[in-house]
Amino acid sequence: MDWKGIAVEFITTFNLLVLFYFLILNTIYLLLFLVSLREVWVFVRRTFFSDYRQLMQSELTWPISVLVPARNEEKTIVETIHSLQMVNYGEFEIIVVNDGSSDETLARLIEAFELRRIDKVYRRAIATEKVRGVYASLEQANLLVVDKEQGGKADALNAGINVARYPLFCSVDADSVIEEDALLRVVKPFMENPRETVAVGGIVRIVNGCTIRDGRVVDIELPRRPLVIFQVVEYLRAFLTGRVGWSALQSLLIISGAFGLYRRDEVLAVGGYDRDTDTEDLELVVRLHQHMRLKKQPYQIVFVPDPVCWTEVPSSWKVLRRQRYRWHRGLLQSLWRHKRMMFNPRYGVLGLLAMPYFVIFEMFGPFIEIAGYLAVILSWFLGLLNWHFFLLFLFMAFLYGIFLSLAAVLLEEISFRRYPKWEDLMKLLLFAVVENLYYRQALSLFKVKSFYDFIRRTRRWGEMERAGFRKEAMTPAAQQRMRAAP
Amino acid sequence: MTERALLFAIAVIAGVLVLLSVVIVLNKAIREARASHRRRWRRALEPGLQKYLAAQEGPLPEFANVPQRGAGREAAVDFLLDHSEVVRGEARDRISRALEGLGFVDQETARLGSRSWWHRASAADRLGLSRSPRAIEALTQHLEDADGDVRLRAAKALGMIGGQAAIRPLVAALAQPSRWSTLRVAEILASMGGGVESELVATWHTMPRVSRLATLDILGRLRIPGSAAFLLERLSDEDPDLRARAAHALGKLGDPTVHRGLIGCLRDPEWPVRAMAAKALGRIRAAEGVEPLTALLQDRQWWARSNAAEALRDLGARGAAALLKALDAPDPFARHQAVLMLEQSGVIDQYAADLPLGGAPAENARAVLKRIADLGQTARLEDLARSHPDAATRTSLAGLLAARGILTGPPGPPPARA
Repeated sequence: MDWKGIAVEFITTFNLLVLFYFLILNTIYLLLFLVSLREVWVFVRRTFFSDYRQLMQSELTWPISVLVPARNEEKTIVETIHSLQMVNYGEFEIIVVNDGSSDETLARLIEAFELRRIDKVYRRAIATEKVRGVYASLEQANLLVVDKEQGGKADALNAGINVARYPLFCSVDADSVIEEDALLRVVKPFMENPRETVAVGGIVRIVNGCTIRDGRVVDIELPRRPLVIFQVVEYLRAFLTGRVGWSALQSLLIISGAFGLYRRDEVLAVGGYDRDTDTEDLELVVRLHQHMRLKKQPYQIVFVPDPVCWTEVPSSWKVLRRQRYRWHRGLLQSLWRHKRMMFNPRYGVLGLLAMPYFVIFEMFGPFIEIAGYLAVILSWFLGLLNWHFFLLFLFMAFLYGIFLSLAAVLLEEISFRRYPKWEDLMKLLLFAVVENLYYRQALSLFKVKSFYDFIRRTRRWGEMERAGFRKEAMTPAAQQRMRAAP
Repeated sequence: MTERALLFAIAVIAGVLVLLSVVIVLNKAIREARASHRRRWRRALEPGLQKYLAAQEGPLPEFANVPQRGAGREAAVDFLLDHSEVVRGEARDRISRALEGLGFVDQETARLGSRSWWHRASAADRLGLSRSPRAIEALTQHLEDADGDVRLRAAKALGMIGGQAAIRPLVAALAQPSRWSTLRVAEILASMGGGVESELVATWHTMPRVSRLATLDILGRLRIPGSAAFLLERLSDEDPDLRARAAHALGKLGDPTVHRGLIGCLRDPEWPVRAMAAKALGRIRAAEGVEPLTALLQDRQWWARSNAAEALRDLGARGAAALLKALDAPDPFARHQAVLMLEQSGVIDQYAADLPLGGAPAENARAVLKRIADLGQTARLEDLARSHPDAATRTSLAGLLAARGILTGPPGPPPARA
């Protein structure tokens, strides 16, 4: 067989492989969607009768320590704390950990909440960078600020866990706003199943474009920038079909660092957050799975689709790229670190399905996708390309991508309906189509670059450029609604 | 062949896409049209319905022309159910009668027999809001429903309709396996007051553990002085969780005469009991607790020590005196916690203010502050040395700290606010 024959054989085999890959991947997506559809439907109905307001006053509800790691968050930190103080919950404390900020984060907090240094006594259960001081508020009895030397987000969270008093802690990003009933909703699995629940994640939504007043999202609107709308659609898909589905299969690997609730004792048992990975939230969840499986104790790590945390997302390609590099690199680090869990029946569905899925489709998926594009070029060069078939296949892949995004929009519309305006719904439908033309491909390229960084063991956090909640421009309609609001 | 399969797949997916888009848009359009229609009806009926609620007598048709079916009837029902949560007395009875007259109670009672749990739960919920005594029998039957949510809605509805008939099934419902459900039933019972206590006490011996735990919490919330004796008895229960909850409930009663039982619990072998008893002693402000609470500062469990320190802080001058003594305790935690509590209760600030006065008060203050500085917990002292409004205090404190190599710079300028 000459070189051309070998190349033909190789490309034909590769094309078959891509077809098979495409079929398996989309079958998994479809199954996840169907599972999620059922879960969301049941969730919405059960939630209708949850009596959250009544439970807020109950002393039987478990108290929560809310941890807010903050580094250079002077633009949003005060607003975030105001929003947390207005949360409907019986007993909770807010612990802000200033991770060696070089801006005015600490000064803003001291000024806004009349902080003063105290000699807080606590057990240093997890080693962290040096704590420079602990501050208590004169006006807010449940607010503490820990000022420490820079050690990264994981280190800041560990410092917060050391200081926390309560059996549950909730991690909230300093650039996020949580809804008033969010803690009540997210604590529910712990109350329903106190022995088994180890961690609960909540849905994260995008605050860009929304209007915040007094720490509350008062007007929900889609942002104007297309890049941010792409992310809105992507978040809907990831949370409403991805995480809901994996959670139902007892294989949730990611609880967003922006909003998650954990059992403090179990997190201490695994040594707290890991400082050596880029995504400490994902790494913690994987280690919790591992720890509980090794203990042979029944447990659950669940995702609740309703507790809403609003967070700011990148509005420029540059920042988005840096964020995604870090996310994907973190995923690769955790998968590599816990490779022994893969195909290991001891870890159940997690080891036999979820971990392999993440390796095959999340880790190597982008390569297969990019290689597929290269194979098309090579096939064309070798005169092997069946244009008709290729275009049909491309078109089908495109339609299927749209289907997954539209399915997420449908889930949103039949359940939570957070975007009430017609204009926003139309935009979501449009962007569910358009994102398949270049946004998804760009994300695949970012993942390939992340793999390269992972191999080279590069670690960069990637600073998020904050607009700050108040600076968001309001549409005239929003201004009108603001004026009309009491 | 493959191309045909692809074409078929494309046609299917495209069809599904179109269908999805149509479903999304139609779903929103229909929902909004219905809501708008109902709002229009509500605006039209509201004046008459308001008059009906404000009047002393007369049936609903005399005030508002509510149709017997369709969006108009639904709008009127919504209005009445919304108001049933905010009105009291005669107006609430008139709402019940109006809903009965509209056939709402019969309709929802029939829905209780639905095969769907959602319909049954929703019907129970709405019957509770109607507060119609006619629904009691049907709701009582659904306390045994196969679905947990339906049972809870029925229990809650019975609680809302009120009367002793609802108490017994609700107490039985405390035994629900889910803590979330137990908690909701406990909330309903705690909000009913009155006769709940006697039913809880009477059924205590036949209750499962989960109900007993909830019972103690409910008794604490009800704050009925007569339940102190019952709770004191529970302090010697075999189950440590029950002892801890009983101690907590006694603290909430606020009756200082129960201090002896609580002081006894400070020697309990289980730390949650010791911690809760310490907290309760702080709540009832029993001066007799000072000495045993001071001893508890050296407990091996963090929560017990922490609660003891907080209780001493809440005990006023005698507690503060005990905390000052604890500055010389052999246990480092006891010393550190004592400093923190003195700081929180404002005692350190008071001593700092005494420094420039001269004489015995100043000497006493200097001795205490030196002791605190020697313990290394100087955050508050440093703050005061920098920002106390009185320059003499700042200078004295700065000198005291500088002598220990803690604050080497000059005392800070007076604060802007001063």
